[in-house]
Amino acid sequence: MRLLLVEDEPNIARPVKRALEAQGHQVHHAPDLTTARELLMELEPDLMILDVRLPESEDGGFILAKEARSAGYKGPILFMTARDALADRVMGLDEGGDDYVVKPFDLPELLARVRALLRRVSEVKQSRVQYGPLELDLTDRSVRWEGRVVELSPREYALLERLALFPGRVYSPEELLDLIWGDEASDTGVVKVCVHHLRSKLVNSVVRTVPGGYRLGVEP
Amino acid sequence: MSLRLRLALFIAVAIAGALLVQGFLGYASFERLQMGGLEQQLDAYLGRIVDQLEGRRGPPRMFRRDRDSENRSPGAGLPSLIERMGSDNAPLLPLPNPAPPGTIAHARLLREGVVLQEWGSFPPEIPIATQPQARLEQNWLYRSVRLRPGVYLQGAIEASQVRASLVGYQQTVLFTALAVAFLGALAAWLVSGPALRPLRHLQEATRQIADSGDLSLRVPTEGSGELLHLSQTFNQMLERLSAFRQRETEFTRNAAHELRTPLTAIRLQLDSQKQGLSTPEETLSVVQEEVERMTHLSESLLTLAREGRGQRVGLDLAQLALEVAQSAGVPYQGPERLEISGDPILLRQALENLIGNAQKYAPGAAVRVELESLPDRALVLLRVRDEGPGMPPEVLQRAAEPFYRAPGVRVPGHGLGLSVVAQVARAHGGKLVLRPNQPQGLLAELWIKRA
Repeated sequence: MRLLLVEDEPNIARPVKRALEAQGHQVHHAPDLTTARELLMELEPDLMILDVRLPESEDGGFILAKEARSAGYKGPILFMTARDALADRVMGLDEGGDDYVVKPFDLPELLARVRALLRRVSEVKQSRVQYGPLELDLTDRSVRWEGRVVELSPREYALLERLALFPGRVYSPEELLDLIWGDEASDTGVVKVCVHHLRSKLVNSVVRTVPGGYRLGVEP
Repeated sequence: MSLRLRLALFIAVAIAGALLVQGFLGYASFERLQMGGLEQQLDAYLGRIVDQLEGRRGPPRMFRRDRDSENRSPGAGLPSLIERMGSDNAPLLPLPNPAPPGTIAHARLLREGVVLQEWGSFPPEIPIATQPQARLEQNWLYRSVRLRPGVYLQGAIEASQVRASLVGYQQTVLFTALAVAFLGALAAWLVSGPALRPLRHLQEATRQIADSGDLSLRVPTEGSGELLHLSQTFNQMLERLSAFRQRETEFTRNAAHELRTPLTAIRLQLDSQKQGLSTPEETLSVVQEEVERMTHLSESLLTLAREGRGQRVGLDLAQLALEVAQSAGVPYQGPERLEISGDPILLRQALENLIGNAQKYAPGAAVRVELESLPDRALVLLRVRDEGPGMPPEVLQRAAEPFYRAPGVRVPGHGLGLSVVAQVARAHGGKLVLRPNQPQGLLAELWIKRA
């Protein structure tokens, strides 16, 4: 998934970004409101993680959430805040937030909340998905085929997960490249290679090639 | 006991007291008047009897106690009637009882405690006595007249009417005193109710505030005079208290907030390392950086919490300024020695903050430390100038507020530096002045009293 992280403290942004990337997400980091606004326009992220207090304003995160909502952003918004006063939390949720973590939080908590929010986006409502012989555990990012654990690389998993979360949807190679590799690759060749690896590790029909791109090949 | 009740009781007691005193005085004169009239009647009666004894007719004589009855004995010119009846015990002639009309009176003739003769049936409750003063015994007023040595005429006149009217008078006085006192108390109670209502409201409001601790409440300002004044003063006090508490809450919240950021960073970094996403070296340096930040923050918080109550020792401010300037690598300009009394730790912290700020917000710009003494005003000025971008006027005004960070500033910091400096200046009987520097930049002036 494509995430926008807005946080002015580099020592907080760095570990969060890394942990989310390790989960196969594409994380774009903005240290302030101005950068965040630009990124929001060009990225169209699946989820936003916003620090409330930003250099420009005490309520920077709330302001950005409001702007994003009025600009038509529909994805989940997760606030990170040191202000745990009830009024602040209510305000955050009223401004279009979906959830918040109160500083100091730990990584597992943040990751769990991000997962929960992303499940809402996808058509899958639980942390385990099963389509016939294919089983995905979204929490520990493991894949089983007919009960056997299959080792996948982070990219392979991310691609499979994307297809599994939106079964039936057709993704073009360009879309997958953008969603999973972000700025790290520019050639759709990597997508083809990745699909090839998936088919060889699982079964050919797990990813189906259809007009316009790829979709999940196993049926529930 | 409530103030209202006390007031009512006080009024009641005052009224009752006044009426009782007045009633007592009135009673005393009334009693003199009544008793005087009765005594006159008794005297006239006794005079008639003596006239009878002397065999005289004519106007009754009066016996007065103030005359010397020893020398001028009323029976001096008596015929031997009394002599006779005293010596041979011959029965006396029955004599009529000349009681004045409308009264009951009796008399008896005594010789050495023995009754010789009675007019009417003398009441038994009256003792045989020879005193010339009129006395009251139950319903009788009685006195004696000495006719000759050893022979007395004792007369008694019925005083029940007088007594009744005296008792009536007493009761009237007592009753009216009580009734009027009660009415006064009632009136005071009724009148003091509305008069004391503001006080009651004030009391209710204060209790509510005390119970709830809600300083946003206000007491009603009503009534007039002292009560109105009291309510207003009370509200002013609440204003100040709530403003103070708001500032304090704000400060505490900010402090906690500022502490949470480094704590979060450390926690995330440790988690990150646990998951194998960062190297130990990286974690170490992050933890070190954040601990440094927390240390600095807690130092500043402590300085602010102590309200700069530092020690006062003799120190050479010129030496201190020179040291701090040199270690920060900025030029110092000023005297070589300048003795003042102050807290070296606080002053060093303040100067370091000012230089640190200048270097942080005006990176690369020239920074200078200047020291100047104003002997005529017993003041010392410690200046830090930079030629950086300076501050816009609205930021200049608020810069020394705790946790204030100018909008758009991307420099790391917790916004306490300048408020610590201002606090240190106040602790040394001075202030912090921030002004635009000429031609550009910021001029921070620390005013310090020399002693």
